[in-house]
Amino acid sequence: MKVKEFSKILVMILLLGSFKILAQEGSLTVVAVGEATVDKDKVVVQEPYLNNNLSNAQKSAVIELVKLIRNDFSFYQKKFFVVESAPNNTNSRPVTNYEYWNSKAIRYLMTVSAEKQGEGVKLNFIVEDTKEKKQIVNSTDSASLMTMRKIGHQFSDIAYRQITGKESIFKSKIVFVSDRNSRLGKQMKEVYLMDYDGKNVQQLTNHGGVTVSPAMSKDGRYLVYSLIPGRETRKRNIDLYLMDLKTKETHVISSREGINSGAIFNDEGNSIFLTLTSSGNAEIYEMNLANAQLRKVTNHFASDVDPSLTADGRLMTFLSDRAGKAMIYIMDPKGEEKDVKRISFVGQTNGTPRFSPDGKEIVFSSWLDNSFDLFRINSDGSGLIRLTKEFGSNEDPSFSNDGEFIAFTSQRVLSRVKADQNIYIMDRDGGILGAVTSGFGNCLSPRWYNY
Amino acid sequence: MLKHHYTYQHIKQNFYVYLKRSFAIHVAIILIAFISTRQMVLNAIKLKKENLELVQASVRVDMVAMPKFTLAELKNISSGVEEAQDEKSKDQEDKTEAINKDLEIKKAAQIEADKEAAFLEESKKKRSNFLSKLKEIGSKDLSDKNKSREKGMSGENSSKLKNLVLAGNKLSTGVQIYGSGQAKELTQFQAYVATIPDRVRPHWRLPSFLIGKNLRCRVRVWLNLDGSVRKAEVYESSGNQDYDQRAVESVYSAAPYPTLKEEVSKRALNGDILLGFPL
Repeated sequence: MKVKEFSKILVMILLLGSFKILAQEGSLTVVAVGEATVDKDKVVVQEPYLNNNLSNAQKSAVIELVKLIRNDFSFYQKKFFVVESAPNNTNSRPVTNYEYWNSKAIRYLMTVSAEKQGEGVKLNFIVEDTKEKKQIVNSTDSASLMTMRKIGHQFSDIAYRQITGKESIFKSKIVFVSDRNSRLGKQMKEVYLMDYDGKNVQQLTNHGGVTVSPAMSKDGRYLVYSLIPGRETRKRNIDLYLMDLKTKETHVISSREGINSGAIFNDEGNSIFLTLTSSGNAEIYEMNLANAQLRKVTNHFASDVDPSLTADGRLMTFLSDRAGKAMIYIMDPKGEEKDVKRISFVGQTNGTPRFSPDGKEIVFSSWLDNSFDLFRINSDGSGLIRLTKEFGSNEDPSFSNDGEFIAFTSQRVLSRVKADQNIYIMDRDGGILGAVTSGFGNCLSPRWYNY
Repeated sequence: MLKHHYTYQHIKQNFYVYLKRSFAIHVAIILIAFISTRQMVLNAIKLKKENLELVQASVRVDMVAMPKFTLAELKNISSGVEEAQDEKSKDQEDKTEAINKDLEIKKAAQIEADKEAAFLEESKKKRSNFLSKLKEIGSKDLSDKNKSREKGMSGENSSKLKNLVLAGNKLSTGVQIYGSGQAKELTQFQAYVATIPDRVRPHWRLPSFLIGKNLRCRVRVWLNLDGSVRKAEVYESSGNQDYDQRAVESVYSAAPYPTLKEEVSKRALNGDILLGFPL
């Protein structure tokens, strides 16, 4: 009996084993279906319902707010199609006729109602899902004429989050450098901050010199930048400055001999990664902001510049000419020369590698056909693609906080001595959405933040 | 009598002793054979993987130039390229027709697909044909790869692989897949399978928040003789349940597929179709 049972078990084991092998060997015929088409959702942002007790200035501000919401959603062209809305003739919000909107294939209906509240305006923002026939957002806020834009972006952000479940760019900001204050014979570049849509521009620095490579901390409180002093001072060293945007205090945090530049904050905001040339060649260091202590991050006889970190700070990409040409590398920034890996193997001159927020992609500029163009590559070195072409000279890319867009500078040569440089936004696949700066001098070094 | 009895007992005892020993030895032999075969197969798979990686690594270094086309341009490659490709594949068809008549069935399948698309716009039709042809070529390549993999598995081909690595990025002369008796059935099956993506694609839709996330899954499909779907299940998950679910749904909602002819029925009934979303 025992023998019989044992042999039964043995046979079963053998059978199971052989099946496993067969399944591995079995060849299935694979065919690719291809990329899915997007179910683009149609969105209508209705004209506002304005209570009669509002002043004319308040009324026009609310109308502007509605335009701003439409403009916000039109950035996400891959996801939404913003449909024109008909003017409404009432000043209070009627009951929604879901059948009507469904018949027009409108998925989301957004309405703003406004009434006077003290000196300000009470705003009620409602988003309805016409397919599910229910309100998905009902948000009330009070605004003054000054805070109207901010509230508008907030409403857009709430709606976008509710619909897609992801963060939006609507509350994000772009820090950049402009030379608009330059006078004849004296170049001046100062740091500015604007909303992502190019509005609400504030000047942050006022040195009368040339500021370069601005970067902000994640919480939006601190700004680092380097200053090339003006001609009137005898000093020629390029120092690194830190500005507290809350107190408006500025001080030099690194003034070693040579260049102190290209600084970025780490994720926690307690240290910065910067490039120093004090050792004789450019190396990347990490500086602890509390005690100003330096730690070498790269250590190579070639120049290593332009660090960019992933959102979680686990990977750093930088530019190095250790292969003979400027090429893109990644490494673990926690150590010195730790896990350095070359990412790009092509391109005459590559520049400004910048990580996507999730760290999966790197966007960079490269010299091709007599101008710089932007390229994207996976951070494992695969999937190199070109993003811009025949669109001037494009440099300084920076991913948006959600990784869907890239801000960059594009330069047009107008004459032999004159060129025009502005900040543009494109989607992550190179579809250009337009310029966000114009008539504001030459704008460069954009960096995109959300806080 | 006594002696006889003793001998009988003795023999009986001995018989069981030897039976047990013999059984144990046989079991041991079978086990050893089983384990060693399994080990060999596993080793071969490992070797195959290593070889593939080696080849891939040696080929990748050969990329020398920045891409000329932008992503947008690559997505909307002009019709001129389509036509050129069309002619090329026609040439290919003519050649193979001489060797094998069975291609007619493949053509018939394509004509069917053409009829399906007849009410679409002219340009769209062209494009879908082009795409399905591309898909076909793609699946042919895959079967080629499978062949070489099988060879690599037995270990015979490792020197060939080494030579390939040494030779660098050479164009392969290709493998003729029409002609042989076994390939006949395979070709017809592939012709049938190649019509499936065109049917599934209109139903393969995703909401905006799932687009551009680099997700991919594969769905294994079992068909019935009348072309309806018996079963479709996720073979390789994308990791996103919603994405997988929508892929499976698109397979069901695109049914019924063309009825199965005898030549292709065995494989289709057995669930030999694997649909890649997107690849």
